[in-house]
Amino acid sequence: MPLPETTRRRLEEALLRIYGPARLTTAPEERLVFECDAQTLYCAVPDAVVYPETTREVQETVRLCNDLGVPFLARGAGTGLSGGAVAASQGMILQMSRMNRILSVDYANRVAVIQPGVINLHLSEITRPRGYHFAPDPSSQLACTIGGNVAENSGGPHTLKYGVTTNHVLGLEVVLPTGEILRTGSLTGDAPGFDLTGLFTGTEGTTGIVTEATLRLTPNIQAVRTFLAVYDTVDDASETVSGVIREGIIPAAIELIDNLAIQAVEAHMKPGFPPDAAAVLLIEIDGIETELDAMAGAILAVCRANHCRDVQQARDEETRTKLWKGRKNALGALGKICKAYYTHDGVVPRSKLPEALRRIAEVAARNRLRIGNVCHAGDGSLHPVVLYDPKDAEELERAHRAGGELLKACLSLGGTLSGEHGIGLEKRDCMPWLFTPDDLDQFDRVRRAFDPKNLCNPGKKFPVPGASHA
Amino acid sequence: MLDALKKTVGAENVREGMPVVVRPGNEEEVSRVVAIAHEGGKVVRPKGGGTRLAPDGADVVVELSRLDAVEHSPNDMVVSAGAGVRFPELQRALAAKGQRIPLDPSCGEGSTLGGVLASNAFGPLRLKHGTARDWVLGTTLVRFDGKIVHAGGIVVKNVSGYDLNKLYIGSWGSLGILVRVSLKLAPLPKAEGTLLLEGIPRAEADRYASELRDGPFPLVSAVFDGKRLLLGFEGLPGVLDGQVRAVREKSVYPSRWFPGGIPGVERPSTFVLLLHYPPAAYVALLDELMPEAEERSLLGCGVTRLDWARTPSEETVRRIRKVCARHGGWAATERPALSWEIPAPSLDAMSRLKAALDPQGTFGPLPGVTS
Repeated sequence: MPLPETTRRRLEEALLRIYGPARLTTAPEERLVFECDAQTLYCAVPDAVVYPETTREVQETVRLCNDLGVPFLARGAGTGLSGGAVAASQGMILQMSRMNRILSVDYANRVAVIQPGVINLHLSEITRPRGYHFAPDPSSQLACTIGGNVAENSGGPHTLKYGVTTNHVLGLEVVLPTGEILRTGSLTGDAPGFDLTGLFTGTEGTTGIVTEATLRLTPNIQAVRTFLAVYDTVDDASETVSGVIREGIIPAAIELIDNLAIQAVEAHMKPGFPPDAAAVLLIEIDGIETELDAMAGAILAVCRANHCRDVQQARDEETRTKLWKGRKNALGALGKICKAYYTHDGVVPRSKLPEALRRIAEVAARNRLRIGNVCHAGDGSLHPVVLYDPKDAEELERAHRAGGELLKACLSLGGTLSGEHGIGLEKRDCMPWLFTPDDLDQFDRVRRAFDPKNLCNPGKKFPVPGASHA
Repeated sequence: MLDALKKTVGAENVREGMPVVVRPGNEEEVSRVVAIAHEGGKVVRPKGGGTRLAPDGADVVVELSRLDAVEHSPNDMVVSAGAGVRFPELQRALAAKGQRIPLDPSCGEGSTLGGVLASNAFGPLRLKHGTARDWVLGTTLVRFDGKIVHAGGIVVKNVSGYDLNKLYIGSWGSLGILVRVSLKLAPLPKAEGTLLLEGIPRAEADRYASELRDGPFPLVSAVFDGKRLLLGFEGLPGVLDGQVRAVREKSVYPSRWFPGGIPGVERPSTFVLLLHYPPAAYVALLDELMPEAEERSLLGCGVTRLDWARTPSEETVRRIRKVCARHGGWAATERPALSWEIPAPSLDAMSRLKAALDPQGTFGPLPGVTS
C-alpha cells in the first residue's frame, strides 16, 4: 500500500534534515535500483532510501518511522536470495553500506568489533596476515556485508567444522524497532540474563537494525589437504559423504557438484571437473599437519570403497584455489547456460542426502526442467538450481511447481525450509508446512515484544494473516 | 488443583506438600500440568537433578526424570532426547556408538539434559568445543499456557523461525519447561589425556596455554587453580604421544602425562561466584583480586569459578564485582542463589520477552534479578 501523500512529504522533509540531500534518495528512477535484492522475482520500490553513517542517525530514522507509521528495513549489499531486503510492504530502506568501518581488532582476545556494512571477506583480509580470519564464508563473501550475515545467520561451505554466523557473534549493538539502543553480549559472548545476541542473530532484520557487531576471530588453518573425487553415480558420491563422517572425521568442507553444474562450470572456467562425471566431491580437511596424513588416508579409503572413478589430492595452493573457485562460481556458471535460474535452499539430515538428490532428479523429470545441484553435502545442505525461461509462462509455472515440490521433498525427509538463505519474503507462506500455529504464535510473541507496531521489515520470515505471497 | 494433577499424571506420581511435586510420564502430561497451574494462577517450575539450583518459590515442581527417551542417529550425528534423561547416562549411550555431546559440565550423576541446558552449564572443553548454544539444534518446550512449541529442528543448518533455542538455554526454566532437545554430536576422541604441570606461576601458565593454543597442538582445555595447570589434549593414537612430547619440551616446569585424562573432583561449597572477563585480562584480574577462595579458571575462555566453604562478606563480593567490571568483565553469584547484575536497557528487553512468553509469571520471575 503506498504511503499517503502527506506522510511521504513529512518523511522526506524529516529525512532531509537528518541526512542532507547527498545521503537521501527520493527520485523514482533512483529508488528503482532498490526494488529487489538477489531475489528478483518479487520487486517493490521503496519510498525513500537513506545512507546512515552513525548509530545515532539510524536511531533518529527509526524513531521518525515510528512517529509517522512508516515501515522500514535495513539493507546491506543486497545479495540476499530470499527477498529480505525488498520493501514488500512499502516504506523506506536504510542502506547500511556507509557504516563500513572496522572499529577495533583485539588479537589478544581474538575479537573484532565492526560496523554492519563491513564486507565479509574484507574483515578476513585485514586479519589474515596477523594469523586470524572470520570463519563464516558464504559464497557471496566478496560482496555481502556482515550485518547481512548476522541478519540471515549466513552459512557457507566451511560451516560443517566451523559453524554458522551465530557461532561467531559475541555481541551486538541494535537499534530496536521502537528506537532504543540495546547492547548485548560481551567479548566472550557471555552476558548475564537471556542470550539476546543469539536471539537477534538470524531474525532477518525483523527485530531491529544491527549497528555494531563483536565477532569471534578464528586462527588461520595451519595445514590443509583438498581432494577432488570423481563419481559415475550421484548415489556413490553422496554415500561417500556419510562414510567420511562415520569415520569420525569432521572435514572442513565437503561439497557435492552434479553433472549439470560441472558441465556449466568447466565450460566457464575449467577448474578441472571431468564433464562426463555424474558428480564430484570437493573434500577439504584442515588441522595439525601431523594428523592430516592419517585423515587423508581414511578419506581416500572411503572414496574408493564407494566406487569413485578417481580421487586426487590438490598438489599445490594454485590447484586448490582453482578447485574452490570452480565451486564458488558454480551458480554463476549455471547462469550462463540458461535464461534464468532459481537457487533453492534445502536442508536434510546428512544420511538422507542420497534420497534427497534422487527425489530432486524425479522433480526435474516430472516437470521437464533442468535442475543442477551444488551441495554443502557435509551438512545435508542442498542448493538445487532450477533453470528456466522467465518469458515462457508455461515453463515459469512448471518452475514454480518444481520449487514447491523440492521444498516438500526436503521437509518430508526431516529437513527444514531454509538452511542459510533465509525465509524472507520467498518462503514465509511455507512456514505452516513446518511449524504449528502454536509454534508460529510463540515466534510472533517474540517479534511483537520488539516490534509492536509491525514496522521493522514487516511481511518477512513469517506468514502474514490475510495476505498470501505466491 | 491437586485432584486435577493426580488425574493427569496418576496419584502415585504426585507428592503432596508445599510445593507439590509431580512426575509426568510424557510431553502431553507436562503440558496438562502447566495448563492446570497456569489456569489456577500458580507458579510451576521444572526440576532436573537438583544438582545446581533448587526451584524456589514454586507451587508446583515438575520433575522430568520420566522423560528420558533417547533417539540417536549416529549416521547423522544427531541425538534427540527427553529433557529428563540423566546427562552422564546420555553421554554413555552416545559413547557406545563412538560419539558424544562435547560438553563437560561438572555435574553429578543426577543432573539432567534439561538442567544442563537451562543453566547453560559448561566445562573445560569449552575452549575447543564451545557451549550448549553451539550444539543444540532444536527444542520442544511447554510454554506458559501448556501449549507445546517447537523451535529449530534436527538439521545442523536451519534458519527457519527465530533461534529460540538460544533464548531457552540459560534461561533457568523461566520461559517454559524443556521437554525434548535435539543436539548435534561430535566423534569421541580416538586418543586423549591430560598434562599436569605443578608449581607454575599464574602468568607463566597463561602464557604457556596461549602459546599452545596458537600452535600446532591438539589442545582442548586449559584449567588453572592458582598452582596447577591441567592441559587437555585430544587426537589420534600414534600421533598424540609425539605431539605431547613436543608440548612438554616447550616448558621448564615438571609435568606428568595422564593418558585418558584425570577424573574431575566435585568439591562441595557454600558460596560460588562465576567470573566472566576478556581472556587476555586473566592474569591482571586474578593478581588484583587475590581471592581467598578456591579458584578454577578456564584459560583462554575468560571464565573463573570461585568457591568458598564459608559465605564471604557482602563487601568482599561487592569488591570482586567491581574489580571484575574494571577489567571488562562481570560476576554472577551461582550458589546459594543465582544473582545477576543486568544493565537497564538489556533488563528492559528481557522483561519484555518474559512478559511476552510468560505473561502471568507462571514460571516465576526473571531469574537472577532481585527486585
